[in-house]
Amino acid sequence: MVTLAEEAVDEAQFLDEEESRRLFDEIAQRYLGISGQEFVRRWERGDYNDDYERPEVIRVAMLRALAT
Amino acid sequence: MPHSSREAAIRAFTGGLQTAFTCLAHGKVEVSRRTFGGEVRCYGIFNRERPTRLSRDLPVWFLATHAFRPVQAGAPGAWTVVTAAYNYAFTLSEEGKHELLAFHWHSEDVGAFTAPHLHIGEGGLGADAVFSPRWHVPTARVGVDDVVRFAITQLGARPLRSDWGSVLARFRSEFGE
Repeated sequence: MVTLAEEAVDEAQFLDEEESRRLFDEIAQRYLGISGQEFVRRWERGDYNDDYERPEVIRVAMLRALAT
Repeated sequence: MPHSSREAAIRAFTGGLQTAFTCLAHGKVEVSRRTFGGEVRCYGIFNRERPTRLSRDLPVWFLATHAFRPVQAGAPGAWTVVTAAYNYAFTLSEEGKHELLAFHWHSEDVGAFTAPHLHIGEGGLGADAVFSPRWHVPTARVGVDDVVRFAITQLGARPLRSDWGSVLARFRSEFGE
């Protein structure tokens, strides 16, 4: 029997570090209008401490590891 | 289902995510792999986290991120993956505004509420609602298959595959935690 992985893994894509950073930047721009690096700066400064449940913020925050 | 290497476990789960999501919407899963203190964490992101319309006749959009970690599965040399975090959201606009609801599970580095939960978004609340989109409604941990099934059976999304039920059952069987 063909597993789900064998059926579809070739349709997915594995990103390298630079592609990951570009994707994070794209997501931060789309939802918050700022670069990925700027989001990380603001996050670490605590600018979103009272705002992290905002849908646009959490979508970016959960992916900030892609910026590193 | 254990795999013979860490890489095989990551690839298997990625393929499973791709298949499960595409029961619901056209698109591609991209996986970014990061390492923190020797621990590998993978972020599976559907359609670059762009909201993707569910069906032509249903004005609801879907976006999804699923983070997972490869772990040893007990027997020497056997690997599987476990869920590390997720965000599955349904919105009423293609810009991602007017969130209808969102299933979240994230660690304490994102917010103080670290148990799996649901947000009822402003798109799901009337102007005079007393419920707040900021409230965290506790849930059990929700699987990819649960969310896809919810969209099809409850929201009325038209599945893209006629065998979606068996695909989701296989997902649960191969990757259920």
